[in-house]
Amino acid sequence: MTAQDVLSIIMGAGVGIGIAFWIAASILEKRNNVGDSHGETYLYSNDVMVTDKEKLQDALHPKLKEYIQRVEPEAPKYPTAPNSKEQVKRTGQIK
Amino acid sequence: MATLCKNCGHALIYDPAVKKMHCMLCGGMWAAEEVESEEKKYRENERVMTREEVYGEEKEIQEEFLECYVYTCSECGGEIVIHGSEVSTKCVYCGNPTVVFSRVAQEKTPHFIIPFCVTRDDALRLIHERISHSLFVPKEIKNFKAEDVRGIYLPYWIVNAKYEETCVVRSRVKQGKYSSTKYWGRTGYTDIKNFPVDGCSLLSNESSARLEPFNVHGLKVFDEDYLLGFYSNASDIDYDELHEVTENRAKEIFETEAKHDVSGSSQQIIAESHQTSITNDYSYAMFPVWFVTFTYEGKHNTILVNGQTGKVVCGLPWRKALFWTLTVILGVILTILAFYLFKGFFYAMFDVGVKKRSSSSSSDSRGKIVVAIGAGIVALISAGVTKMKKVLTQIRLTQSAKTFNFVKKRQE
Repeated sequence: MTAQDVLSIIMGAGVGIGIAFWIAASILEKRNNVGDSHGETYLYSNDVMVTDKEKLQDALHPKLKEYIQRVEPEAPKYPTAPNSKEQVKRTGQIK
Repeated sequence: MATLCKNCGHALIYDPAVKKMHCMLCGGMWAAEEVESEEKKYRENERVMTREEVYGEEKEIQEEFLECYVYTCSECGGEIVIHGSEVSTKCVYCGNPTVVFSRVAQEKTPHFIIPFCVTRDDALRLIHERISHSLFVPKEIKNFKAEDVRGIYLPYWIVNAKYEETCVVRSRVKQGKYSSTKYWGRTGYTDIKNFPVDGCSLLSNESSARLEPFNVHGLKVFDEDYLLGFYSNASDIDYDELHEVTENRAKEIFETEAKHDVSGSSQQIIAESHQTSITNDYSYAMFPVWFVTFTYEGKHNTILVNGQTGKVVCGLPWRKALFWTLTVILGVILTILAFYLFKGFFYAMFDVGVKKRSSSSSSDSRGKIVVAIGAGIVALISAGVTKMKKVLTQIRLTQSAKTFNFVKKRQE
């Protein structure tokens, strides 16, 4: 057995098993994973507006523009439902 | 307090098949807006006795007591036990659909509702259609018998927001033979409109996000009659959660576009600063969902069906023996084919190399080809593992005890 044969066996096994595993996993994902998606972007967003583009020399964090002003979130309009940790007894069980 | 039939006085329920209030006794049908009973008014909240008032002292919380609220059925006088943030349920004694008006009216009256368009039978049929032709789904699941099929109105907040971000994107750009790392600054914003946020903390956001999309054009002004015959929950999330979910989705939308906007490959955001502002016009609505539960190998599974569009959401266990057998058989066949292909290819390459007196550049080329093939093998296996991880995540959500209890802990 020559070096080319050994290399062919190794490469062939790798490619063969890799493709077979990928095919089986693809079938599994297609059939057993149902409804794994959420709404499309266009349903919730008109468009993404890129207002500024800059080619940077390197990843310099100080170059990030901090022009976004922090705004305090407003108080919720509606109260949340009670999530009481009080334990209650059924009225029929009270002696 | 049930809404009664004008003809025979029996309790009405909302029927998705005809999209009207339906009397199951005499067959009478009316639009929800047409049905106005004198009793359609809101009751005062009955005050729940606290532990201290019952026992008169601080006591340790005992396991056998449930956290619940006790209400009285206005039809028959029986006690109705409501868990957590539930709003409407059925009376266990007289079987009539009863809406707990005080919870809906006093604390959070929804602005809108999407009535059920998919009937119970449609939901089961859609599930069976979706899973019956799957190769790796066990036969017991293909022919599963549903233990519980419950139509539940989930609380949703419909949110509008503005999202702004500044970020640095790194990418690999090819220049001739070589590639280099480049950095790009991007600043921008996006307006989020009609984004639905699940308002129920008992159901995971991962599960509820998969129910999307809901068609907001199907929203109707809220009328409690639509709830009759179904279960429902009130929202129990706070503003921070609402903000976080909205922000995460807006971030995903913006960063996907920002990465597409730069040239090169392997785009990655390495630094960012963002701000989300939710506008004050968010609305509270009820969205319809069918929950179907069954047991397989001792584990509870819950399949969700969007009650408006019929989208089925679930992760199904698979036949592992069949999966690996198929992979091995296919692997052996493809290995044999690939072996002969590579054998011919390498012999041709080495013969050419010998004829050209095997220069160093030829050796380099052979080495690069082997490395490229190796990288391709790793990429294939990684892609396969990624797909399997998605399936396992979905199965975990389907078999989640939290979701099962969310459905189960209700009155029959």
